[in-house]
Amino acid sequence: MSAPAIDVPVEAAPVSVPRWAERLLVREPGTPLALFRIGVGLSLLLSLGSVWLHGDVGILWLDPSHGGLSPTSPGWLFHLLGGADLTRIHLVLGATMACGACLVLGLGNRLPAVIALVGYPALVGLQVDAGGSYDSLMGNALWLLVLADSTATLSLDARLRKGSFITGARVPAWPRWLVLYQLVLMYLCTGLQKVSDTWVPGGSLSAIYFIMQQPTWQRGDMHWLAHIFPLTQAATLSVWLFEVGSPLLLLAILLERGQGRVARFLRFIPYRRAWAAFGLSLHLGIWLALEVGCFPILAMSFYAALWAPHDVERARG
Amino acid sequence: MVTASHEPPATSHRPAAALASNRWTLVKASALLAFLVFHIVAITVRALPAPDGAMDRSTWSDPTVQQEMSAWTERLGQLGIKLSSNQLQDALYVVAGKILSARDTLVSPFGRYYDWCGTFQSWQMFVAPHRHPARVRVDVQEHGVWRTVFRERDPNATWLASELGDTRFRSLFFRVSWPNFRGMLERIADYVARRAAVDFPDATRVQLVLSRAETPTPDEVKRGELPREVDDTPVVRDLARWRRAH
Repeated sequence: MSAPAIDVPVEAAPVSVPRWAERLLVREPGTPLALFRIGVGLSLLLSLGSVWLHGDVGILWLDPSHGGLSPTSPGWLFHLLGGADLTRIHLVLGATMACGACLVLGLGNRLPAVIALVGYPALVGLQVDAGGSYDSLMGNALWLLVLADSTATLSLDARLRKGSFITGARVPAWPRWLVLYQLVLMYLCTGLQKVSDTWVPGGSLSAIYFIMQQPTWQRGDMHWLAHIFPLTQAATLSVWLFEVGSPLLLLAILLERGQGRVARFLRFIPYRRAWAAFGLSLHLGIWLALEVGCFPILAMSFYAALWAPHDVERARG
Repeated sequence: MVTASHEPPATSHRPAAALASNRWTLVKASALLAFLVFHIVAITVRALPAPDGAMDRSTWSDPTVQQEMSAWTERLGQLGIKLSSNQLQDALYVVAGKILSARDTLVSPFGRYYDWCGTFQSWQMFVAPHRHPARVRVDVQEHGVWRTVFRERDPNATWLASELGDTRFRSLFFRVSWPNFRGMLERIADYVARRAAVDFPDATRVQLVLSRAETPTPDEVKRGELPREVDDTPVVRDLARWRRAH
């Protein structure tokens, strides 16, 4: 027996949910966010695991009275735990790395991201001068994983809930848009800050050549680049244009579904794939040539957000 | 309701559940929209380029910075903007201060969001190559003779290479090559001295040295003209003092 109808004047009743609201609340299969989650988990394990494997936990994160390098800046977590001694640091390190493993495996839904978002900054904040932009990117990635339902598929959670590691369960799409926006924002703002004469077009375009020669970051001797200097100049220009022009990716994604000439052109190029190919090559090249920690892997994790599942299906179809 | 004519009824029948559902959807969407706007504004204003770390004017005397200033003075001159390097630096310093002040005002409402949710933005990545990079070296003095025991990227001097080779130590070494990180350089020297006092029982002194060389240009490399590294003033530690203290 259905609920009794109630007479409501037409002019007082909303006819339907507005289109913008429907678009905001759209749901899609969770594969991109799952891939993002796995990449972030691996990056976290690499970032913290490297400190542990190199024997630097007590050096970087303890103060000199306990055998460490320099006075540390314990945050609220270590104050709550009663101090930043070696035992407590290892406790937080172990818990945070366990959360990294849970992110990789997809266990615990948002909880590992929440715990890691507390533990990771607490650890790296002990010695901020021994960090880099990868720490900022990691914080943002973990927050996005708190916001997202990233264990709907490719996860132990899916196996436990649905009996299969891979499911077609649908999740809110908006966190994926934020992942994409963060990637574009990072590229844009790092590009805009590349105001050195060696970067900006019209100058020597020698930035990548000289960066590769810096002994602090290089994996090995890179003097051989002098013999292919014009290629490094082309790479410098390409990277600068790629970064400064990164907002065009968002525009392309918005426009390519249209019907006009611009949309047809963007589908013909195809802009998204070319952009992703360049970006992934950039990060692979950095990873091969320079030692910059987990940054390349972490940045590449964000690329999972470039395609919605229906884009993949449409490309296959 | 019975109407007197064939006109459509003045009211419409709608299940209450559907109306309530639509209203709830609208509330959810509105809340989500508000959050998305807040988040995007917060991270965007924080990410906007700003000369963080550049307001210590003493660092501008670094040869790499001076080379940049000269290059831009020349480039601006070609565009018809005639400024000396000093005038350019003075103008940039004023502009940098204003940019930082404006940025700090914009981000101030979002401080807790950055702290609590990890949304801090910091994207100064390889913004300018360091043309006079330093390489860290550690020497110990045994029986009056100095011997190199550690040197960055040197397979023949690998004492503490595992500890000092981690990415986070590389970040530290990059920073201590700048004059405003002298304090950290001293602390690294203290740490190295504590370890050397134990690992080199015959050593009387240890020194931490920053060896600098201007990065050769491609033409210089092709001609085989690799510049010699020049040592900064070393940071020396007396190991007897460290052995007494520990």
